[in-house]
Amino acid sequence: MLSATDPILLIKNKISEEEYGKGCRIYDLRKGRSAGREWKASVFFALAMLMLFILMRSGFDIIQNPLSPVILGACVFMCIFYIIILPFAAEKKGRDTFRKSSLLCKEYEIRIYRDRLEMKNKNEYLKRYYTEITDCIETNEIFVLIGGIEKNLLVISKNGLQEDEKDQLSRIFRKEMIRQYRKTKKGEKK
Amino acid sequence: MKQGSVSSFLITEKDYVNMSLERLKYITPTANKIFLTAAGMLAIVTGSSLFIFYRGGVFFIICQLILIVAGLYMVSYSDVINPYITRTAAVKYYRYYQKSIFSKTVIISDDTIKIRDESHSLVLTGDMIFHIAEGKYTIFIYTDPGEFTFIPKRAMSEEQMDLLKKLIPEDKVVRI
Repeated sequence: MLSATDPILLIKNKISEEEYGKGCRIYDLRKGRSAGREWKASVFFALAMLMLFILMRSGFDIIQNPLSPVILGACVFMCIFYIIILPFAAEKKGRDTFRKSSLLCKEYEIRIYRDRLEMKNKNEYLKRYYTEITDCIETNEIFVLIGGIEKNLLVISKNGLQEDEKDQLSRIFRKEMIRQYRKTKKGEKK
Repeated sequence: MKQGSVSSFLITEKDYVNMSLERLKYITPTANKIFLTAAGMLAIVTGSSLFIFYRGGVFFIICQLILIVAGLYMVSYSDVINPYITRTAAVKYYRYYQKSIFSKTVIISDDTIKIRDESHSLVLTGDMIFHIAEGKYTIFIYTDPGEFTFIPKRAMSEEQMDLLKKLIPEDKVVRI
């Protein structure tokens, strides 16, 4: 029988460049520049529609109305920027960071407890209480844990875990982080 | 075996705000600031000129005013708006996580740096350090282009600073 100090689950985990990139993309969608991209893009879209309306009213006379097409173009660009470019850039940056990192590519031993998780290897030890985590997002490939004053992005790979380990981890996170937990299919906020 | 130079400190709210502002200054390329200021001034000049010399209809006036306001925003973004947002966010973040902040111990020897507290510890050799950035109040130790740990300069002696800089090649130490 497990005592209060024993871990519920003990796994060895090593993430890949692709997985870390996806984790960075999710982090950016939740906390980074892509956060709130839907409403930001909506504002620019509404402004673009206003400019289009102004242009139509003037019969597309850009000599009389030189600013409207310029603002329309800028707004269309900003919509594309928020919806497509930013998340893609975040993932690319994450992969670049992984390639240049000496710590991220190492294998960690992860101990899951009722109130916290601990990640450990030769060079790093991290203890993170679930109360410090603001977001726990599960996708088909990874778990993304966001929160903490240091190292506020943790990515746990499902690759290499047994099916029962994946289920158990999912159950523990869903139970212990009931407010923060989300499961998505594509790794984006729904 | 020589233990190395040891110091202990607790990160204060002021340390965290200084760190956030210095990091903002470090990660923002100068070219971005120049571009934003130049674009902002162009927008202000264009909007103002059109407003003064060529009014047009109501919608045109609205576009001119939007241009002037956007220009003012862009000009003041780098030096006023963004630092204010960063400072406010840093204070909020620090107060939210205050209970998770513990006293840190830094041990620097000839070949490693160890930084540890109750919840996080790192043991880094020179080759694991991506680079070091030195600001007015903070030392940033990067393990990759994005991830860093920081030490307030007030917590480090001259001897420790020298030992730290000797861990890596000179070109990997950047002044902010």
